[in-house]
Amino acid sequence: MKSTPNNPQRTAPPRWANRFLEWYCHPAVLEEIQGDAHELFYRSARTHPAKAKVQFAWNVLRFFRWRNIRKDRLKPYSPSSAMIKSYFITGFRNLLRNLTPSLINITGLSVALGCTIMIFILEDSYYHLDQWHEKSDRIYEVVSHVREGNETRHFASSPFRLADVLLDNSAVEGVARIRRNTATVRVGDKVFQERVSFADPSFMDLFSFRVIAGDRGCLKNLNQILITEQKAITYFGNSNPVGQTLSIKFRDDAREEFIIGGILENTPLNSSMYFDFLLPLKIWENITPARAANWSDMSVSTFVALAPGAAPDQLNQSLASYRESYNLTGSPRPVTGTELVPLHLVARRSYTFTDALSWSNHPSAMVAFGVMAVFLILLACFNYMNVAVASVSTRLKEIGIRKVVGSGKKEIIQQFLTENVLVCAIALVAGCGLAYFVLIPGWNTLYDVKMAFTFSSWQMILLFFGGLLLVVALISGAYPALYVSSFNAVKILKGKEKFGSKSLFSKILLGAQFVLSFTSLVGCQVFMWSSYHFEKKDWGYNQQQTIAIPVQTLEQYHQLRDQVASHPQVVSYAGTNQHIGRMGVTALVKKESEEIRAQHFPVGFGYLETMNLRLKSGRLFDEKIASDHQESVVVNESFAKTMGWSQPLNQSFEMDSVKRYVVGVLEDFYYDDFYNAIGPVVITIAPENTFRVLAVKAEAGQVGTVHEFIKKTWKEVAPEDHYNGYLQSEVFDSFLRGNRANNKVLYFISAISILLVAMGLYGLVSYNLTRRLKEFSVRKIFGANTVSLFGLMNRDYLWIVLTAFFLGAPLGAFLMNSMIKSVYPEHIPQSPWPFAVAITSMLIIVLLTVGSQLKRVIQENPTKTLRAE
Amino acid sequence: MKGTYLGELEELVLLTVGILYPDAYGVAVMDELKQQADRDLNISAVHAVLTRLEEKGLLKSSMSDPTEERGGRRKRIFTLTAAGKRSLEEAQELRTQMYKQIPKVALQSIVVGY
Repeated sequence: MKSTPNNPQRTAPPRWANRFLEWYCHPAVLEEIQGDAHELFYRSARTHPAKAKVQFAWNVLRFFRWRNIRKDRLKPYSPSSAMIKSYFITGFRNLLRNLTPSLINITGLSVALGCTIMIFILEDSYYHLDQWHEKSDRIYEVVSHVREGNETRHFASSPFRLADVLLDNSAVEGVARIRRNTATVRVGDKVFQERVSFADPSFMDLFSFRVIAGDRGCLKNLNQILITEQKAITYFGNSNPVGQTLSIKFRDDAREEFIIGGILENTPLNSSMYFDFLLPLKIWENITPARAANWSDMSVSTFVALAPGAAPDQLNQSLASYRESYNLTGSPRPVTGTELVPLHLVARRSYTFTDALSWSNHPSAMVAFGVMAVFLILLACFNYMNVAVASVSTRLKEIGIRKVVGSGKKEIIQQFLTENVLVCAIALVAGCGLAYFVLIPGWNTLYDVKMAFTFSSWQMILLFFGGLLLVVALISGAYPALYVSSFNAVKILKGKEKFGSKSLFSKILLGAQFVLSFTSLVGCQVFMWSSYHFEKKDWGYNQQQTIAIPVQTLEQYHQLRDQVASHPQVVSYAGTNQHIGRMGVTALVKKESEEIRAQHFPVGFGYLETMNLRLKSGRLFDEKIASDHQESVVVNESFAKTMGWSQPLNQSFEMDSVKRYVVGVLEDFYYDDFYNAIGPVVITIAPENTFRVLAVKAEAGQVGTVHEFIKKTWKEVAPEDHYNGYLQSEVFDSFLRGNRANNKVLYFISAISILLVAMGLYGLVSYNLTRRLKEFSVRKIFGANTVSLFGLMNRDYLWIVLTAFFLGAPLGAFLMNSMIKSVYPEHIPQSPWPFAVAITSMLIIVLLTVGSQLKRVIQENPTKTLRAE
Repeated sequence: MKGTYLGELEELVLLTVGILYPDAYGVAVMDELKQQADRDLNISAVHAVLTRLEEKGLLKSSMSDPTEERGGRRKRIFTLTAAGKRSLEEAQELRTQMYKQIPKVALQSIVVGY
């Protein structure tokens, strides 16, 4: 029957609330409180039964006050301080007595904790990048959505004049633009190519970068400049740099002298923006007024600080006028939308932006690291559990006596947990030391992005270390404590209690360890295999013979070219506007009604030959053919495929409103790092006055000599400019270097995961052996030889290892492959090597670990073992 | 001095316990406060005040006979103690005495100003 308001007997107060009340309430006041609550309930239940229930629950919660709570529930048991002291003393003595297993446990735990601490610091700083700026919650970067052909790109850069549009808005507190450049900086005889950034004076108002000497607002003066501490030391040593002058030469322009107005603190590690020199943006406007006035030239990064309480959406809507001004220029790449990206997301989203100013790790990598950390911690905890359960054998008598003397189950649990917290605390301290002295310095030697032993806030420190200690202590300690406490005292003292790893549970634990270990091992191997793949990859051309030298002026180009031409070991040379590997512009190509984005390289005659690019069909450019100067193009295979041509030669298409004819097709080659798939490429002839790079091809094996010669020549040709030449084989070095660094980290993690599992196995085997010593002795007496004993010892473990391999290895491969897929577009064929390496190395480790104990069995005198008792 | 001072709510509860004699218990006090002083109090708050007053020695309590409406549970009936009665009187006296000291002009000017 449905309960109705007329049928109050049917309604009763919610049971859970009533029970909760009875559970917490002090017996002395329970009756009156419960009585009052019920009385109120039945009174209103007559009219509103549903409301009454809610009210009852609310009242019960409100009664939950210190005065009404039964205190015996709060402290279920409080051991006397003497007992706690005793726990610590026995715990400590035990650590010392079982030194080897204790060391195994503590080492394993602290290595895993050290890695976890480092990874946490990494994640913590990743999620708190840039949030230390005072106005960080009000600062946004303007990001434009630009349609190129049939795709939309997110530009983190914007036109110079966008700032004027923003400043018209009353919700805007301030706008700051910054533009990154390179320039040659010179003080006395020190000449370096530097990252030089132009910024509005308001940049220093919006952001909280610290100025340690001089004037924060000095960018208002056109001849003043801010430089970082580090650069100040490079140029001026220990003398006071403020007020000194340095001269800076921008491309194609005369030198300008600047006075140092202030010293910036070195860019903090929790900033995603880096700069060494800050110059007034006005200078750039003066040098290139045409670019600054151009609405469709994405030349600066624009940051805006909103007034407190203002909504970014509203401001974004008012940016429609910017879109109009931009699109009125008739740019073939229209802006279709704008977005205000909050400062704290700018770095994390930077990998999706074009022209990103900020930089941070790829999110996939952060997820991978997090998973690794959890794996390592679990491995170490399982280790601890297994060894702890096994090591109980030496303490059975102690537990028996404790129980006889009057310890309950609770007290034994408490004792073991206390010991466990002690061990975990020691491991945590050791882990911190490891992270501080070994892991983080190691990281800093591997990666360009540095890290420090710092946290975003002290709450984070408390939460992290407290949580870590609690989780590790509970996971690793709960089972052994429960297991030990359930022993029967009489049986123990009679020597009848069975213990150790016969139990299924400890086999499962060991299995879980191996599964985790295999997962991380195979995952790491898969990644290493993929980077090996990149390392050995064919770039689509022979990169070993070429040298590229960027030049500042045409005059330099001519002089250098003439010098190079006379060198006997130079095979060929050519100038180019865009150089394959580090440069390249995009062009829009018409395909029927749609437009396709293609990589465009305007080059000089002979450049393709000098770069060793492989011709598939047709011909390369010829200086003698007049049309080659104008309308001929060479494309790559991918271009032909995108256009849908089966016969690409002599086809024509329109590019940037000019009709072009295909004269040759090149094999696909890599022009960018391996993060991007090979796309369509168009190569055209550029006039000599636009050349920015001289490419030189040396005889095979002579590239070093020729490079030395060019370096020497450069000093004569351009004594004022820093030499920026490089070997073509080095262009992907930053990519490959990053990959090699990742490899080293993964080697380390695989090594640790093997080490941890080996440690756990060692502890377990050694305890099991003690238990089975008698069995082995009997076998020896009946004639068992070393080989059969070794086989016997291994049998238990090999099954576990094999099962774990079939569970863990595919999981590891799957996880790592899906991560690789999210970062690299190219499909990397799965190879059997990672699996082979993982199972072989694991088997070797297992055999070695078990074998190390074999000596004990062989040397043991059976009569001695059997006679004891 | 701690213990002798009476808070405003405490004073109201003390008065209510006096009014309801001999049937002052939690829910009754809560209802009376709602009716007379238009105070919306949660039952737990009333309990807290009652216990505090009892600890101060201004109230004493005893358990009643079981009643039907509370599922056979007993009520805790509060009554004023001598100290409670005295502190009520003192509070009353203090107020009248201080009120009398307000100059007539002050009260009149409020009326005029109003």
